[in-house]
Amino acid sequence: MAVTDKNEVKKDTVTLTIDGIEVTVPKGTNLIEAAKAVGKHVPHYCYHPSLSIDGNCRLCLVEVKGMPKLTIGCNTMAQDSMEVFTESEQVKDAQKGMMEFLLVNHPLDCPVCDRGGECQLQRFSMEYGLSDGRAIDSRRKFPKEDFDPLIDLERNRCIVCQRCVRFMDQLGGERSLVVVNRGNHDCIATYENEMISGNRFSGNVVDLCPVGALTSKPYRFKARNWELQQVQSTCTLCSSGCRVTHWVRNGEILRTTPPTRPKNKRYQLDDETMEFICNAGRFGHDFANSDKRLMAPLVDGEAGEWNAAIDETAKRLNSVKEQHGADAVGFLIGGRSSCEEMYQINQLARGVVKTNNIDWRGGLLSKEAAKAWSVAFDAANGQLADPTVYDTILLVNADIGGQSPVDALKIKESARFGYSTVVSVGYRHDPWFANRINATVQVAPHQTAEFIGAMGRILTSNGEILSTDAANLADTIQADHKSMMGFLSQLQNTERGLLIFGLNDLGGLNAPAVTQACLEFSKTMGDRFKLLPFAPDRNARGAFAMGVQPDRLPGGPLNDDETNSRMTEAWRKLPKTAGLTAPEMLQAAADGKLKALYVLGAEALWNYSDSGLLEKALSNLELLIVQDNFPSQLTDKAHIVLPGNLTIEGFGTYADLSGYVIRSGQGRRPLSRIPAQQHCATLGEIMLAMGNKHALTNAHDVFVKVLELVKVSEAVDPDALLLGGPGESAPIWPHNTPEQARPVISSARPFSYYSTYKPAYRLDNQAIRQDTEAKLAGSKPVGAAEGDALTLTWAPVLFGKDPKLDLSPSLDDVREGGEIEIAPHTGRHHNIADGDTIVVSAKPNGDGVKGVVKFNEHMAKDTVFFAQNGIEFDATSGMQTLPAAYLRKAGN
Amino acid sequence: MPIADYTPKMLVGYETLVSDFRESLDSYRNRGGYEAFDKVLRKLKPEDVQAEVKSANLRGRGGAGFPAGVKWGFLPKEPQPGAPHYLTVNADESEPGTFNNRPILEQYCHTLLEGIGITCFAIQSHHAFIFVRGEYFDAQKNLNAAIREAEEAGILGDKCMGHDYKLKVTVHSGAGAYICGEETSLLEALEGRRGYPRLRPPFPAIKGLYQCPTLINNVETIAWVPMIFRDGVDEFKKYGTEKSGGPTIYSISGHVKKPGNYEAPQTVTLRDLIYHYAGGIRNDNKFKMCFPGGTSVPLFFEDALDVMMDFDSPPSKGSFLGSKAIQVMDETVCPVWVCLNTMHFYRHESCGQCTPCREGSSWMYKILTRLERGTGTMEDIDMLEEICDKISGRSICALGDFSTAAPRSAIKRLRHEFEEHVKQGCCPFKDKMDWHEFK
Amino acid sequence: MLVEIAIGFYTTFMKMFQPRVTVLFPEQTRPQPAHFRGRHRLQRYENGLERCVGCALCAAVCPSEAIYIEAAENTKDHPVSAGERYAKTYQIHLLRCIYCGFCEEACPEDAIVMGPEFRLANDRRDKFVMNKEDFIDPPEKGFGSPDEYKLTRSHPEAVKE
Repeated sequence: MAVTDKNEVKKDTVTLTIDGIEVTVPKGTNLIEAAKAVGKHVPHYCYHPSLSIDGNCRLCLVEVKGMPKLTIGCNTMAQDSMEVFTESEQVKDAQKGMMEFLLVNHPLDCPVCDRGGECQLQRFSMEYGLSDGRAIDSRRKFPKEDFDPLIDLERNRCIVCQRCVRFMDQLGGERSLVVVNRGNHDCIATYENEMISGNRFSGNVVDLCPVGALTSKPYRFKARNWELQQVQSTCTLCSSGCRVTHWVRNGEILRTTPPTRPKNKRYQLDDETMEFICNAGRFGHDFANSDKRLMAPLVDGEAGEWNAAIDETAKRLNSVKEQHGADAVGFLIGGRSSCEEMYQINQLARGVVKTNNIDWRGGLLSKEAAKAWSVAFDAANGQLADPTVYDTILLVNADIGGQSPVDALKIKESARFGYSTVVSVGYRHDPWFANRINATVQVAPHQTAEFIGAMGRILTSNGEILSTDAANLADTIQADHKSMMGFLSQLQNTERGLLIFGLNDLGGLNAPAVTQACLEFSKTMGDRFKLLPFAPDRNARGAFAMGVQPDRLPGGPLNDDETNSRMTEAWRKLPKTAGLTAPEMLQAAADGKLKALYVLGAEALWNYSDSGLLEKALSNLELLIVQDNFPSQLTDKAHIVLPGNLTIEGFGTYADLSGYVIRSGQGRRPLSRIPAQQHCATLGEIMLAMGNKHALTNAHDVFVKVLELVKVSEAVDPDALLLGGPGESAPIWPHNTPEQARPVISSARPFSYYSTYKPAYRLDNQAIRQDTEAKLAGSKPVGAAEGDALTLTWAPVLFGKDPKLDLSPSLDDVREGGEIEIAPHTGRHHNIADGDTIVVSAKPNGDGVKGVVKFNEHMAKDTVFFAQNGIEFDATSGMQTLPAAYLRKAGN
Repeated sequence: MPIADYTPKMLVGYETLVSDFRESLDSYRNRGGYEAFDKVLRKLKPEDVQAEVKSANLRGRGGAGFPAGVKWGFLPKEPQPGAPHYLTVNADESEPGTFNNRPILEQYCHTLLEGIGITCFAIQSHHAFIFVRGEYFDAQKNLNAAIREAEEAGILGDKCMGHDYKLKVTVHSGAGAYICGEETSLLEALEGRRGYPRLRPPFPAIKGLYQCPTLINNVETIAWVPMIFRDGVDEFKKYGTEKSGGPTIYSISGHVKKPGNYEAPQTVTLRDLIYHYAGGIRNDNKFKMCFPGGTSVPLFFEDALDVMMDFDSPPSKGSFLGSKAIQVMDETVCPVWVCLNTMHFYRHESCGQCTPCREGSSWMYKILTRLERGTGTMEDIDMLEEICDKISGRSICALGDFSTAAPRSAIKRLRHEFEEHVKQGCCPFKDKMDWHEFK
Repeated sequence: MLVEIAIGFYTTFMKMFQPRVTVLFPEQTRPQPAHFRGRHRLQRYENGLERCVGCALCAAVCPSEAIYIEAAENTKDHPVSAGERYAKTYQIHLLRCIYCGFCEEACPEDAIVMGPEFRLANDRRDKFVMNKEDFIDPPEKGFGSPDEYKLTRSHPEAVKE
């Protein structure tokens, strides 16, 4: 149905007759959707439920009694007592005519076209068209132009339905694809042949295009759709947790698309999908077919046999445990592992080795940050499955745009249709996201907590916001008074709000202050704002639920009696000493106190920003066991490497940011050349070898056990997990309202609360330091930079360096994080222009790191930002270890 | 009334115009200009103005002939906050053979401006746009000069003629697209987008320019409004028929001795126009056929010569008054060539948004090319008719239907001449006509 | 009863002097109809380009799923087929094949045909999975020329506007 009802009272329906069948549909439903309700299919090309109505293909013509001409079904809304005929002689004649017209200039490309077999033109011409075209004149031809690394455009095949144009404009948010020329020479083009895949959602036009004009380049000519097996699964790259379908042949994933519907017996691309995935999920599956895959377990660098490797692992773990005690062993797990793997390693740590040293937050730099994460996740009560229910969405330091693209798309769509007002507070915003929401507020890192606190106080002080209060608050961040008043009023009038706060930027150093401030804000606002902590890891909520943290157990906190007794029953005795968080474990390893480290998944330490400490820690360890599938810095240093299965080769469940759990689908049984050992099985067998007779070795059994022990999320039906994929669930995307017959120009540019350059107001004089002596305690906020120094800020981005995306060559041209970002007027102040090469150094005119500048107007003053896993930077570049940032042009 | 007694009311002094003539403000005022505007602002209310125009039976002169007063009534009674009303004057005169708006735009600008003033007052609009086709450089120049003149004289601006009424008029240039003469395409072009017609509903009267209620009328329609208020409804209706009031301007071109614009009451017949006003067929040839209202309407043949050229009589002979552009063709003209010529135009001007017009016009053009060259077949003639049936009524805007008007009427009446092309393997009129190949 | 035996022996004896109908294969062969369906052949155009574009329609229609195809893109310098796409891998499992000829009917390019070769005996099952080099005609046997649109895809310089 085309309308999402927000207000139950307004529910209104109409009753009409379609081909003699009476049906009642909600008001505002067009005739194509109404016909679907009675099981009649009205063929169409340009209409799509998620896009504005264009009415240009003229194929959906239907006959309505009383109207002199045939009318298009997509733009005619159902009215009471309408009589509609979708199969009358006139309609059939019109359909045949339109199909014949479309085939006049369409080339005979079916044998060489990738869309053959799932092409709507083929399908409708067989079902609704003539058997033979009668045009004998030559066709119009366009030259082939190559403009995008991921999408191939074949203009000759285009039927100018303009779905791609509307998608890039409305959902993609940038009008990068347009129609040029006139009449029969209409074709799709971009400005100066620029690529469209700079936009993270460009791949979706391949699904939307009803013919083979836009096709996927990485998939080009690989297979025909009928040869492929559809595996309903989930993408494991970010916490949006999209459902996807992997199309598999002979165990090889050839393409990934949004989920196809279970009744899709035609094995066709779903061109009416209402769920969209980002380019990372779509093109980033090559790691599953990579030949860099580790094949056999390695013990001290030598490939060996599984039984021997597992015995050796058990033996060495036991030996470290006997010599140095259980607390000399630490366990780290990556945020992309499944719940079952997390449960298994938790049992290995607590139930067998008997230590509480287990953590999954290997990107954090301090134990206070880790504590803040625990507190934040405990307080989570919001959801992003349907952002339209909130009238205000307030983001604080949450880079959803750069780290969870699809969640960002959903939020932005909610803003576009006017369901929610979206405002983002932070020191740096992803430009795509920032330009498409209602407003951004630029607040330096050291001011964020105080700003939120002051906001909360103003909003609940008198019932009416005093303009002096608003002006004072605006002055603290050099913002415009009137805008600040508007911003505060919006928040005060919010009845259902969502507060999303980010935790993983700056290595989590700002997390304690921000978490504290946000929790207090929510309380002061009387719970009108639901809380949602943002972490980009695919299974962050799952990790919290599985208790792979020193302060938690599966299903509850460590110091909770009920949880303790439940887990003691499951795992026998539980360790008593307090456990170390990930940053503490690394510090302990560097100091020589932690002797053994068991790491499951390279993601565990991928975003740890103190590379010096990491080097030291890994080198000092007596025993490093890494359980991962691909070679990395960790496997190079490991004493024992245990490869395992990929998501598609086994059973696994994952919880997305809102807590909804999805199961991955099994696309291939492990072939003989691929390691058959499942991660869960490896962990179970290690536990068995170490003496635990009750360890489970099968992921499915673990899943059942977990359901016994843990309530994963309040709103989830455990039976739904076993479906392994999409049912006919309601679409979770904000929808077109029927009045949107014509696309409205993208929402007014959001105003930035940023104004002229003035010295920042400082809370205290502490500079940001990454050396370990200057750790911040309690909830003190991150400090400001001194003197002429700029505050150095960093956070990971999804399209940067990534253990999985690095193995996908298709995405090479669209990776992100190659630049150093500063606000435009910071650049002016330092005489630096957009695109200049500069040096960022710890001391003025000292040695430093070179990079290219990119201006970002949605940034706080005196701040420098770079992606910590950007393609040009990484932990080894040394950037994060700079205590302060001085900029100068390179070449001086 | 007898046509001999008729003196032009709009194109005053047109026959003796010198080049570059633009009627100045003073000259216009001397013959009673802007008195009607003043009277309307002083004495009448918007609904009164609409009622008077309705009773005068002023029909839209752009081609559809829709009663103007009724159209004005479609807009909301009162402008809502945030949704001001707009008037858009459609001066995108691109219908082939039509040049009857040109004198108004180039020479009689003030007549148009006064009409705009009264119309805007009637629909409570304070901003009017004149969308002039890009090729009419002089018209744009002259209109801008006239607007400047009027603003300096206090006729337009913040206090029109001293009354408490604001009006701003903006001239906007088109860029060479016939499709922008279609009202919603025009709005799209005004907003800075590609001139693609919009889907209706919603209609421009509710959601038009910038999604605000908008009235779009043809130049000539608006230009006749001052006469209604200056000379009175009865005087206006005297020059028309019962259902269609006022005189109108006919553009006559083609194989006539004196082509040009002729203002006449609507009671003239086609014969009057061709033989009396335009001096008859060139070389005293025989009349074969003509387009009565631009190439978008079906052809008229000898039996239609005595049809009265108002809005309601031509349909009795199977055509429409359209844009009042009579293009006369004598016995030397090949109907296939005529269809090819018009199809060349529609194929070039089709916006390409919807399937039937975009593909159909191109296909018909290719078929007609083969027919004219003599390499066509009998099936091609049937195919042409079938394509016409498949396009009409199914496109987004009327351009689709317009493209089918000429071929349909030509084949229906002169099918034997089409068949001659096939039988002879070449165009039978090759030696008689100024025949040339199309690209 | 002796009479019947005698007649039987006589009939058999007389057969010795009647013309043989046995064909002494392989020295002698029976005439073969033009439409005989034997081992497949992949045909070419007269300019040497392969006709097969790797569209996999033959694989789709094959009742026994005997054909496996992997397609790839033609390079501008060394195009294999006349279009933009060619069959990189073309495998037919001749033991699965039922020699029905549907693949020949389905082919839009007149590429795959069933040829006259029927001497396919072999001693190992895996030798019956044959690849493109076993089916492709030599370049001299090419016929016809690809239409201009197809040719411009692999030879853009051939575009004449």
